[in-house]
Amino acid sequence: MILVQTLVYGLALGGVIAVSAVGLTLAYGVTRFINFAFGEFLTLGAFLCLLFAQIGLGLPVAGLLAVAAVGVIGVGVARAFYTPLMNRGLLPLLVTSVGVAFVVQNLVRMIAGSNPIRFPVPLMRPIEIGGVFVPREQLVILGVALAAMLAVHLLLSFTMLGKKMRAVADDPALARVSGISSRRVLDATWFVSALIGGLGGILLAITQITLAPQMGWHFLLVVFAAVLLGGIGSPYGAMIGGLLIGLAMELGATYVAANYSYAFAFVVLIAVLILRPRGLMGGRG
Amino acid sequence: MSGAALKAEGLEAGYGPLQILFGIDMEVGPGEHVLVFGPNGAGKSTLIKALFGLVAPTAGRVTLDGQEVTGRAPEGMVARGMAYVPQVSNVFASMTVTENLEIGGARLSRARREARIAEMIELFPVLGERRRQAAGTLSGGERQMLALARALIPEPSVLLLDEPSAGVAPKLVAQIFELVSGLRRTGVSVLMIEQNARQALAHVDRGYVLEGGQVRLSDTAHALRENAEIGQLYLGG
Repeated sequence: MILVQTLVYGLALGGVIAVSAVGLTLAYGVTRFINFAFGEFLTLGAFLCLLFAQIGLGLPVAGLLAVAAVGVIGVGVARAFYTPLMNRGLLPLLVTSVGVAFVVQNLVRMIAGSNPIRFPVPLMRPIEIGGVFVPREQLVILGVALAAMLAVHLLLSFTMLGKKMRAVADDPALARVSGISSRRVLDATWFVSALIGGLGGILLAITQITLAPQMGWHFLLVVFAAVLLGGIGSPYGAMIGGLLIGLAMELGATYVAANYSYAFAFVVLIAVLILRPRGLMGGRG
Repeated sequence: MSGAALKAEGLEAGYGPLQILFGIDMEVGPGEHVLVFGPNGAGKSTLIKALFGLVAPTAGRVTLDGQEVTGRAPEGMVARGMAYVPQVSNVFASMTVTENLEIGGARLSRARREARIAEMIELFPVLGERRRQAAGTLSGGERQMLALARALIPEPSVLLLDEPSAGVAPKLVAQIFELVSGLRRTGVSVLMIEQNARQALAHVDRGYVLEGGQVRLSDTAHALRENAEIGQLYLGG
């Protein structure tokens, strides 16, 4: 009985991680740099959703507005801070993204205060499946996460924009000489990456119930684990990696020690990387 | 010929302080196939890159169908009717054959893109058989076909080929040149640089000999092949 509940929680958490990991890895695949401010997209998603909910919008509408807003913010951040540095090598970009992360984090703290805030999830009665009580919001999280991943899959496989993104990720030089305008593809990538990050943040807020300005920054480590586990740059790897990490964290917390759930994420990661150094889906190093 | 498809006048280019091209004058007529050859370090690669906007020219002009395009970015060149097939890694390995072709037609309307893909598959039937296969799993010759087809999708007036026979098994080299010759049916003008100059000359109309970043000689392919001095100096005896 506990096992079933643990699995549901693990899948829901895994869904949150997976969605976030897809956002991070998509941007990596196209730009080849790891955006350390990605966690802040999660934080912004959660806080903006809270803001929109506080002015009276229903949670779904507030969520949609929030993710769209984070998408636009993502494009703005990238154009202002990343694009100008794109040809200067990776290190300036990494350091800049860490800087962006701290600036955003502290802006959020300045406006919202540093006390944890309760996220306004409506009370829902758990549903009973075969004698086990499963919290409804966990199922909603899992459903939304799966829908988001399906949407990313459809984007990448069936739209011209998605194919251009994959082309740039596969070989940026060849994409350029094939006539693909990398600027537009980059903008679209940052929009989608940040938007998905914002969604991940809202889902994270629902699982954690409370919001804090540093929530995204802390969660970034687990998201990294999922990205690396799946193979960096591979969206499908990130999906699988996220689900596995989520399950490992919940199973570890339930059966071994509750305080070490982050540690289990990395135990799984290390074990897989010993066997498959390039991750499950064999992404690029 | 004022009606040249591609024309370079006094073209100079290089990398930073290092000048490679010194006043190149050359042209490719409509539907004409032209070879540029010469010793290593003559500036062949730089020339093709300067024509396509991958290296910014420091002086001179490039005109495409009478329109000046000097120093435009590659995506602008593609939009104006120039196409370029790089020497290596010229297909998107993780994407299917169809997806590679779709990328070539990214600027076209959906209907036009599909029509062009169908035409390319008619031109290279083997690509039709491999439609759903990842491009990375194709043989060397099939990859070159895919790269050519992708570049031809937007119906360019000029196609630049950077060493099409490089990295292809020796017995397939002749086949690659046959393929390029076969493009005459499409009416596209071709400018190609090649190490395998002797073989390539048999398939083109005219040639330019490049040395030290300057055009040393230009003539019909036939005359160049008959020229004993050229044969000895640049075609390996």
